[in-house]
Amino acid sequence: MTRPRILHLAALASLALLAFVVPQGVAEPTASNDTVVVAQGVDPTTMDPHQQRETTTVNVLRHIYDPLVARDAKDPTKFDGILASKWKRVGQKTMRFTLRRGVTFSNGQPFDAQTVKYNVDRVLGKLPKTKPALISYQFGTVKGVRVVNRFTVDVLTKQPDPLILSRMESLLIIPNNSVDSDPDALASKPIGTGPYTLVRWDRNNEVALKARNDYFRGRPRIANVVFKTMPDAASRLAAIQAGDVDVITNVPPDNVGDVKSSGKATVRTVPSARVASVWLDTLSFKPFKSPKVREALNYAVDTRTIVSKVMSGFGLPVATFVPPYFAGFDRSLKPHPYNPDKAKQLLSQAGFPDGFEMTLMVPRGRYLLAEEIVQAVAGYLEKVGIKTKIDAVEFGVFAKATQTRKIPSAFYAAWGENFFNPIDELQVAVVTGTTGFSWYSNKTVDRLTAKAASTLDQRKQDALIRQIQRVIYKDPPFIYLFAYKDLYGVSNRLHWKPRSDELIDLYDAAVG
Amino acid sequence: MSRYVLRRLLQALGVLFLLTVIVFGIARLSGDPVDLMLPQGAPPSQRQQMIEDLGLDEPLPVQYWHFLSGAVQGDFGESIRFHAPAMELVLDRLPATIELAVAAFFLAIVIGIPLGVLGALREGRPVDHVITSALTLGQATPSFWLGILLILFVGVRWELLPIAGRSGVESLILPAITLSVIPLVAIARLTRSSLIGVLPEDYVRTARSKGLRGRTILGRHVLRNGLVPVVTIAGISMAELLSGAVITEQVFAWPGIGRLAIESIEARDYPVVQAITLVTAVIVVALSLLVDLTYFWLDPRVRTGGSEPA
Repeated sequence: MTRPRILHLAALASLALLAFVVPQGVAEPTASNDTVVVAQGVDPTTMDPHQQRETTTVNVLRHIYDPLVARDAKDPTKFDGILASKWKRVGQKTMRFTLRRGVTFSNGQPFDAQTVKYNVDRVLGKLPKTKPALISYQFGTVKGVRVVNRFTVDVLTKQPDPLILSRMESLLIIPNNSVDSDPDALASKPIGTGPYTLVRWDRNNEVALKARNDYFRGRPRIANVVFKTMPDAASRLAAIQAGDVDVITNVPPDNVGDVKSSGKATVRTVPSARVASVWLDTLSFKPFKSPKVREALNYAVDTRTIVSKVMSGFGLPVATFVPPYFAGFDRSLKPHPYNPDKAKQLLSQAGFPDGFEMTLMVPRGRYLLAEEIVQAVAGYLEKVGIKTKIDAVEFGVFAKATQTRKIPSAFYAAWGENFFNPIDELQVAVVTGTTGFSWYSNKTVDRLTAKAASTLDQRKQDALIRQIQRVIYKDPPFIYLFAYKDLYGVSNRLHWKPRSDELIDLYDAAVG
Repeated sequence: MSRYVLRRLLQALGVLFLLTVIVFGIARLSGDPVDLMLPQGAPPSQRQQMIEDLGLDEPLPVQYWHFLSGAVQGDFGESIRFHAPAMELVLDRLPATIELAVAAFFLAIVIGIPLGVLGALREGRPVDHVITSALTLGQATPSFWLGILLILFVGVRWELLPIAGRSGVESLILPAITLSVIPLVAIARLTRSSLIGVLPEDYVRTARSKGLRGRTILGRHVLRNGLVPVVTIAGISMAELLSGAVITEQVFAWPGIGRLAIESIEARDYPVVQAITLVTAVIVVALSLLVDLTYFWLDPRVRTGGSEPA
């Protein structure tokens, strides 16, 4: 065979294959006057709102579906009515919602009290032949729904539940009977009451949404929203600088200047519900059984310097894991100051004058700059004589380790408490228990937490949470570090403010 | 010939079978999907329900049998994370991967072979030095770095081409360039060294002394013999490209199977991991079979079992 023949063959074969596979005129997804593009790291997992639990998926679905109530964008302790116009407690275990009238799903089906009952039944696995949905773990306190009349429902709980509104926010409403014949009917063909409808879901590439003219709260100002999947952080950064996308999340702190100097976008920050801490195994790791050692650790780590150097200032040191914008914040507690001498003194008193060795596990790539933060923590611990081995693992390994209770002496995690109330976190991570995050046992804390979890009066609950914090400040199960600040890259043309709960909601946004 | 093909086919089946065992085992070595799907606060009953729903409570050999008997019929089960048939997810992404692989392969061939030929013909001269250095540089360039550089200059600074996603032919250019570098270097180097081996051969000297034109000598005698090993490397490169270019797909947000593979491994989405691995294994095995058969056709020594061409 001669060279020209072999080359021609190769070229022809390549072109033939290329012609076969080149995409069939997919619309250009760049930002334009009526189209806003949001870049996210991962694709939505499904379009069925009851079978998912990733923020990136919720961001898409909140444009297609509505909840009864939603957390206020400006004040995360308050709620706004969406599908419900009013709500009030009618008894310790009952929350009554008055529903909006005249709301229809994108397929024309009406929304009413029966719809709400259908949704709760579906999530709890009470419909014939169904099992509890994935999000059912958030509805452990919910017993069911009673239809009062066509536009009034009572949500009944097993015990008094102060967090019922937060829970209801995560219930995005699907049409009545929509998953009766096929449980996966909504997995790729969503039907909601929300401001947008799905135009196209090109898996792992983009989700295109179109505004609904007949949306009951008024047509959104942005006609089209595209969620583009861009897994690489550097690529997302380049895209916002090039003006190809309008919103990116998690701008790395040291790239803030790059985004601002592009002339096309700016960086907006918002306090995050995510708090970074080092979990300590106080149950089986001998040195950590001593509260003095754990207190010493909190004095040994210079959190302020970590925030300023590693996080470029985008973080807020905390005294416990309750930042100022959570229920029950205690302003009388101050973050532990950096005091290595006091740390050494406490270690000596606890019987460890020469320190000890520990292993600190950190999941890779899960939390912003986690490995860098952990290295800094280890450096500070080294200075007071605690030799720290860092065990950086893939997140699957981390999840397995915490789930099966096979953790080393300590691990790093940045818990995101989107209820803006530490009760759920206390129950999972501090109360004596069996979850893989609970490595501490204190009867006072157990009792106070159980009480706070069913206290409906917010002021009384706040007081209980403050009491708990005082206990875990002196007898800390964690090295308390800081609350993250979320950094969003936002194009100059987009009028939109990020929220503290990591939700990207463009209904109120505008271009211009 | 048919006996040879039959033997190779049987070998291929053996390889695929072994692979199912390995993939099944490795996927389950660390972590499991339930830990990743459910949050820490989830009640144990829900955890148990999910384990049962996914069939993870059954003994491993039983699980393996379910997987194998389904796989034979092309049914790899439902993705744990995406609630969609695993095979459908893989087939959805395959066109994107093929498109990128073919484009990169095309670049690698049309640039790589001429570069190699030029280097061989000008061996030891400045042109050869420039080519060899450029190839070494290409080989040493990590693809994520090259990808980011292309994005920053071509996409962000000069605004010439889209930087991410799959939206028409122009979005293919940067990822194809990035992905082509490694096979291009391999093909060019091998072409060069193989031709350098062929050029001093007696038959080339004879052809020259017969007074044949340079182009004829190159086409008829030098390339015909010198490109045989290049076919092998090209076949292997194509197989590698089709197995999904994880880094390139990541950097350019290209929706191919490489990215799906990574995400599925991270989520311990066993059905998808298994489907991807087997689909790519079939591609790799098929291509290597094809390469061997091409050899058969290109090189008479393979056919006759002889040692020297007649």
